[in-house]
Amino acid sequence: MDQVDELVTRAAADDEHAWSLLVDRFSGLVWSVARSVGLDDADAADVSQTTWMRLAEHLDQLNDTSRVGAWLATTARREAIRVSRLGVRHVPVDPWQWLDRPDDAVDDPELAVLATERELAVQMAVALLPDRCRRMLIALSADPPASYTDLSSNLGVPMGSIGPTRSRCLQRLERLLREGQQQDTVTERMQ
Amino acid sequence: MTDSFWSGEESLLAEAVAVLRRAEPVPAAVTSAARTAFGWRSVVAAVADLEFDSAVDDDDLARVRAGVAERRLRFRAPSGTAELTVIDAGRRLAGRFDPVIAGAVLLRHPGRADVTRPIDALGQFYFEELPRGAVSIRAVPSDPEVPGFQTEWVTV
Repeated sequence: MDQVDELVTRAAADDEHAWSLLVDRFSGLVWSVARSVGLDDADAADVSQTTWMRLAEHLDQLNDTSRVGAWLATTARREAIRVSRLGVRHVPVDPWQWLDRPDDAVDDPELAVLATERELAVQMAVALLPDRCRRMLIALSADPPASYTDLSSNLGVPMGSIGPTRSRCLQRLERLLREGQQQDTVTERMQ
Repeated sequence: MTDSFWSGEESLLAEAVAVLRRAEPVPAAVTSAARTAFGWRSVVAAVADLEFDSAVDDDDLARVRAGVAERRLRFRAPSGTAELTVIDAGRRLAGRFDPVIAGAVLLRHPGRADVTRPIDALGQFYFEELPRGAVSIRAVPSDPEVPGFQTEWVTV
């Protein structure tokens, strides 16, 4: 199942697996957008939750299902801005204890390196790639990067086709970034 | 293929790899909450949109007057509005339906069971110990002929 619009249509028709694949693709983008506004982990977690609850509610009403990534990014950005303006917020009755994260993550948003618009645009374009291309890029960005042998077996592509596949994927990525620029952004300029 | 094509492709790959490496891993509980959201798909046809939020729609002066601990929200549906005031830095919530709906009101939160409260004769209701995170309010009219009312999700 490659196309994002198809995933949205299937999720709207009650296909939970399709929903899960949407979460796999876009949860990183939603998280990065929330954090890019400067929210700490707990606030970014709340914003992420609200964003996905809203999508679940709006699945049947999206005007353009292929733009679900932009819809999520816009919703997350708006919600993150609201939360960032609340000032003193919540002395929680039920402390937010369930976040598990690597020990080296940064708690202070001032110290965290916030994602730029360009980085968000690249993340969005990667999320919109066909599944094979997306998996290939993720494998190549592992440290150390996946070898051609690994790529061949993980993606089910013959060794001889890895080079051309990689090239086609990068062309698609480039096209998605260009299209995103024409639509003037990841988050549809709301400020 | 020209050299510039190749170098463009390689530099795009390098950029994508750098972005993916720098992107923070999403906490597992956050992804899990996103998956769970699917189970909360609405049963109500028309969800009331958030049309006013003092956190972003008030100017700075009005926000100072109201105090940082109070936040006012207004949701609108074809059948009417719901006005909510979140007080005590998000710990309590007071609300009012206009027109008045006779019945009960539910506070919905993905992390716990719905909490039910009565709606008084003036359309008002009240919740304490508001959980943080995504919440939504749903009116359950006692007369099944009266349209229900449900707000979209908002972070409190």
